[in-house]
Amino acid sequence: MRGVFAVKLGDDRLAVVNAGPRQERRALGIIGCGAVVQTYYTKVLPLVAFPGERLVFDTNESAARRAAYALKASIASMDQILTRCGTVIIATPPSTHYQLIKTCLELGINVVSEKPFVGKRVQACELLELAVTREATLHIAHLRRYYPSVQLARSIIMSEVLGRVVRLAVVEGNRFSWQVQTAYVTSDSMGGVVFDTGSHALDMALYAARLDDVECFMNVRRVVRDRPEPSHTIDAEFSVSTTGGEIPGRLRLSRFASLANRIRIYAESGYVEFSTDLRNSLRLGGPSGSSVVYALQRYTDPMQCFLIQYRDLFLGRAYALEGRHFVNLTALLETIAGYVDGTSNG
Amino acid sequence: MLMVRQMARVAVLGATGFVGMQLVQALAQRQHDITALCRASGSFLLDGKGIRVLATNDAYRVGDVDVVVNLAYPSGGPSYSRKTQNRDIARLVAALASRGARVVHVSSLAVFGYDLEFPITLGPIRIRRDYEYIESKIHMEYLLERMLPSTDLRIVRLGNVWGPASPAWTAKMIDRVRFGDPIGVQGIDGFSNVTDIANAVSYLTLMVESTQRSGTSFHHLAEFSAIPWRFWLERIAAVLGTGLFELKERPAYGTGMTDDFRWARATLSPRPLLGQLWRGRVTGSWLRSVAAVSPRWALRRIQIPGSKLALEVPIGRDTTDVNLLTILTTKRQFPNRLDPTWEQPVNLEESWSAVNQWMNEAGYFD
Repeated sequence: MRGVFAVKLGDDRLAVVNAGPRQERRALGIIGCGAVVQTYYTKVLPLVAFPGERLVFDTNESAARRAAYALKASIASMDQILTRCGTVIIATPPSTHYQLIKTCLELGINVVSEKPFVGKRVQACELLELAVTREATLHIAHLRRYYPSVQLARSIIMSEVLGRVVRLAVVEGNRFSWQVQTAYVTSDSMGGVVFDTGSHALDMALYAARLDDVECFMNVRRVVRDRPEPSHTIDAEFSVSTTGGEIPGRLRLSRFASLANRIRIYAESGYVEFSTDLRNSLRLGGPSGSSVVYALQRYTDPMQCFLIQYRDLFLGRAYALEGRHFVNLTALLETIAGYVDGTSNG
Repeated sequence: MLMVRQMARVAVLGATGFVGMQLVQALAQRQHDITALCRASGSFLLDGKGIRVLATNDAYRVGDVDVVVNLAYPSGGPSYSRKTQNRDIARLVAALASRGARVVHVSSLAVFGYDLEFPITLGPIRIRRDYEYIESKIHMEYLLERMLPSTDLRIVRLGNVWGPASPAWTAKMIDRVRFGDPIGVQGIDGFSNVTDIANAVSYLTLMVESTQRSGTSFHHLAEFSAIPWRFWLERIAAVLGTGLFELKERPAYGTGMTDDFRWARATLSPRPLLGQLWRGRVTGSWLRSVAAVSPRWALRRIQIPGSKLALEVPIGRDTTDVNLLTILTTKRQFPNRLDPTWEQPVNLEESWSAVNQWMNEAGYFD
């Protein structure tokens, strides 16, 4: 594939790209060198064998320099990333994901996008089709899918020992302490707690309840938030309609204070409850009581899950992270974020 | 009669932390003129609370103040840069207090060791090699004492800060109870050495408002220090309808370099071994010191990303877990040393009641 493409950068500038043939593009590129790259990628990527060179790009030059230093990578322009990379990791603010993923896929570049995927279901479907057309892969990095408690919860639900899933309760709140490089959390429509914390917590719930890879329709009944998007607290009642029936759920999120930080999946004959934090166990309950079930794996640092996620991605076996598994999540986030009637000043 | 300062101009560093957020709101409610200094990325947490918020980089805009409260702790960047970050914070505190302001510095009981194994004295602590958090807390006390010799400096060492939404203790303990992590050792009933957040805020408010001047003074606050952890944990377990998971033996708490090497030797490959030494109480301190003065090219060669990643961690063997279990089973009580004019606003039952109410509101019982 060779051709000239006009690429829209985050700050509305246009870059003209002359893409080389796919087989010549062997480098790994990272677009965006903010908090997630500084916190996770710089520690984990050096441990993952990748044969080609590494290139990084960020509009903030000092952030790019720091990431390049830690990753033993070269600072590159957007043009160079798109012409020399066979795989690109996108770690920019969420509202730029759609355009950047689309640009990469159009050039046949494999993409790993940091969560959240994109803001709208229709965009997610369009990008998935584009990936198929251009024979590129599209994965979304969701490290919490690798938490032992989440894997264990999913396996219990899959075993059907508890019967059909009937209700979801998702609660996560922590004082915001993420050292973001830009002000997107307070100014970007996709910078609110729904797409930020909510994309993590809801994905854990949908994945564990096996609602990530079935046809679903999302409905929202009520949303109360502290302010219009980007909001910092949210309390939403939603439902997931599947062929098996309607599954109601409640989502509570906060950036101001600690909440219970738990996900409970109710099924016909019991429930599984697990933490939104890294845990190696969960609570399995039923009408006669509950008990703790421990996973065989035991991790003590989310970095370990991050490493396993990237090991799987580079080995081509990260099936759970394929883009198609995040369409339902995107639809649910879009529905909740777009629900405006319940906006309050509380 | 207690003399209370009216309308003080107060600068608070670390205002978006758990204690900081509650303190600035309490001070603002008492009509003090508050300037909160925090990281730019978290400043929105104080929006709409009638508090002037400045990013740390804009500290030069603060102007004259009567009191500087320091709650800042260097939590970002590599662990070997903590002392450099401490110096930056201490210089900022000194600059803000340069026109005679009082300084209230919030420290921790951890300066006496996680097991409180060092003599608890109401005075300065000698610099020593220790776990990263402890070393950093001691270093900050030492810096402020040295940089502010003639200032009214009040160093308040808080106990384990408990109460509604306390992320480090209440929320963490509830999670450990819910998900079956060990929360103690059979037959050992450790002192909780707890201070309730409402009491801590009240005491710090007194430190801000007091009109009496002094040189450097030390205060120890853990009003519920005599209460055993079991008191809190059994109540949590009762409302959650769960049991408590206790180990049979107390995990070995590292007290010196011999322990560090003994634990490191148990790992078989170089990377986890180096990681274990890096987290060791004394070896870690030495390695951080070496790293802090090493040229960047050398650091790049010896960086140990992944030192944790391949480590096998049976229950009760992870360093963080061991230190927590040490705190939960300590047989030493952190004695209160308080300003006699302080009146404790929250008693034990009120403290538990607030936690219980918060558990209801925070979504533990859906």
